Amino acid sequence: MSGQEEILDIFFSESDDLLKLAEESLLSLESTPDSMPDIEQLFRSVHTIKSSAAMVGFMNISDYAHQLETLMERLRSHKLDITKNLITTLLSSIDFIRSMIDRVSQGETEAEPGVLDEKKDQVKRYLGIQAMDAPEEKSVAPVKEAPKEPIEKFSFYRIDLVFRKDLFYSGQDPILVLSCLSELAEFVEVVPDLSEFPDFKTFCMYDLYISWRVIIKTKQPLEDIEDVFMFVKDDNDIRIENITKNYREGIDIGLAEKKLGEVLLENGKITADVLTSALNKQKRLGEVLLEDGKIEPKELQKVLALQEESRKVYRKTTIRVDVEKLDNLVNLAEEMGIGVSKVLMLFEKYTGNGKMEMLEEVENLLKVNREFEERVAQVRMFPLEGTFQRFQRMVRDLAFKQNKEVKVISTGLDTELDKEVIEHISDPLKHIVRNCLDHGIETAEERQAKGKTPFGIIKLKAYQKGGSIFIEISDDGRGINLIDIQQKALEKGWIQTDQDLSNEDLLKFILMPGFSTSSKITELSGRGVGMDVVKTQIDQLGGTIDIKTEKDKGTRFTLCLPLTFALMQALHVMVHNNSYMVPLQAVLETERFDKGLVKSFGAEEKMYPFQDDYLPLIDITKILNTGVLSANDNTSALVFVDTGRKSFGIPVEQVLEPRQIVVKNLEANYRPVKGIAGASILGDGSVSLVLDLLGFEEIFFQHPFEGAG
Amino acid sequence: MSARNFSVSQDGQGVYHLEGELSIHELDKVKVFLEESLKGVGEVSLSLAKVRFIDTAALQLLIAFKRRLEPGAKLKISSVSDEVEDILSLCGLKASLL
Repeated sequence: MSGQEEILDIFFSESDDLLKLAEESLLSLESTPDSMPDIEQLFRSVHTIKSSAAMVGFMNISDYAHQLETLMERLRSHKLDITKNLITTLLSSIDFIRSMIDRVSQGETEAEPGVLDEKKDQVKRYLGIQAMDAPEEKSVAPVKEAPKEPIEKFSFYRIDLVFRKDLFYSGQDPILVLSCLSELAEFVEVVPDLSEFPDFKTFCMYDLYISWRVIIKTKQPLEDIEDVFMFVKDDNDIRIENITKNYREGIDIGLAEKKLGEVLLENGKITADVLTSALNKQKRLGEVLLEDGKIEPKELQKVLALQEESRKVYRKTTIRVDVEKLDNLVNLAEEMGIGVSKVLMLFEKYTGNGKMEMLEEVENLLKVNREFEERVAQVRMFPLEGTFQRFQRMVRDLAFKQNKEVKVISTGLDTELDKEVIEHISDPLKHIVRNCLDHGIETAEERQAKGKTPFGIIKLKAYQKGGSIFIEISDDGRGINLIDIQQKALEKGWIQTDQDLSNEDLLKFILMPGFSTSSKITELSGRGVGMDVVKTQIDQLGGTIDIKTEKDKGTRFTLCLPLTFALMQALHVMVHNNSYMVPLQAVLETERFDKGLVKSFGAEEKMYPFQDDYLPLIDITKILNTGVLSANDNTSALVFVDTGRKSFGIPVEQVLEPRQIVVKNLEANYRPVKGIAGASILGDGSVSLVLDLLGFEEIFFQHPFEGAG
Repeated sequence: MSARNFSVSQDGQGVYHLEGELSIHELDKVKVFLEESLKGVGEVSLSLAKVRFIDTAALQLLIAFKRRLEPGAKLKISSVSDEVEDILSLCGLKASLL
């Protein structure tokens, strides 16, 4: 990756985060319009996008962001009120920036010229309206919205002047230097540093003890500023730093984040000693509370300890890493494992001295390597926070359009999932949330008539249980009408009139292709496609969907998803000398095969007793159409599995030990094959196919005798 | 070095009026004057109203005296000329001196 590409890469990923932040603040401003921290965050995000876009040369993005910034400046100074319409406009502006960034990332221009102008006009309208609303008051300031007169011409520099002690001997004087400088620039701040000033006894009047820090504001080029120091720059420590980015309208935004003491100290208003002694006089909250007897010492200690721990965790830093780099690591770790396994096998044949010690060491290595693989796979895990956040925005927009009031409550934001899983569930989740909003949540009037709160609630909840992640999406709306479903199923000929179906069975029809009970068709859902697509996508991830509903109480969708694709516990089995991996999570039991217990239906279908039931036996070679005739049946064992929907047995020739495997994606290396989740490389370098049991089940139960082809 | 640029006089209230250019070349003189005038007195008032220029070295000297005397005796600068005022704000030393 070249330097430029890297910078672009950083720009793309950073701006993505910034846009999310901006969006987050806008949404929060909608409920609390006066929240200054949100306004500040919004401002900062847009400001950063403006500068970084300019840095990578996307001037249209930068210009547009600049205009938005001007608008936001109005919000900050309370010259513009936050209204719902303004937020809608700003949200669409954020979207527009995102679309421009998307376009440039594809190598296109930022936007069609017409579109850009139109968007700019939209923002300008807000600037214009405000100018009319607030006539003379502070008429000097708001010239800013005329972008033809860029105020950016001013640059701010911080100049540190530390002269040699014997400067006076060379005929120079700092005051003369400062005087020259003042002719070129306006002084924003001059702070002399007298910390080197000695006491009277050691004071020598021909030595210079004072140094300076000056902040200037100027339109002059840097070279001219540097020229001021022409005669002093060689022997003295003169540093000039462009700090324009820290200054807005002459205000040092860095001040906001500093403590008062630090600022006073920096400006030379107080000395370090004074600050320390003042701080020591200050009592801590805990002490005050203790003295007043408001809290038990033990309790206080406990809370403080917790706080400290939390801070430690908080301080952990994060870095951004390309997924490809991680995948490379996983691959290397795996190859290392294969190498070590080979060495292990060689040692097993070795008969010389010290065999035991060597074996032990190699086995240790193997263990370390396995842990390494696991750790690397963990790095791919990401919190669901970003995904949930997007729904906040989506729900807000949709509710606004449908004249509904909806609150989104998310919990379990820090639940982590494999990045790849997250990418794949985003769309299905979106669809479910849309369904909740379109079909579940009623209008405010309808809700009030039912004695509910006028605003509906959509809850997003994520948590981990065992090797799976559960995501619940629930609403407190009208619930799914089961009678409607039954009717629809009858119309479609899926059921008979006299058929008695449980609620659970009825709900499953929602997931069938071509099902839609909504009488109204909305922009986003209710087009008859949807839930079946959701189901397919979740199935592909090896997950399941569960639906619960109650009339006028609401509906809850629960998705159960695998934690990660990359790592899996699997049972190693052999069939016709081919090796397969059965996901251990699904395995119920393995049993010795007794041919006498098989019940055959017709030529192909076989059932086998398991616990109190008869389960079908599914033949791997037939499902995968491996071409091996199972005429000479060497089946010695059965592996019983439960996919969450169906249970069945798989006849195998040999059951080997369960093991942790790294699953390689077949799609990336070959092509998707139904019934196969991926492949794994074994210690001896051979390949083992990882079974996709849901795929298996589908192939078998839908087309029991056809196989995958 | 030369007395041409700089002189001191005292008025009826005991305020010392400095006049001319207060620069590194006058430091010896200024120092002797300050030491003499401060002997056995609680407070000394200086007026810089007629000082047309002051340089860094001279400012340092005044600051050094001011610092030495605090908190007991006091060196008070009662007034400054516009030129001195400008210089003080230019170098940010106003608070240290006045």
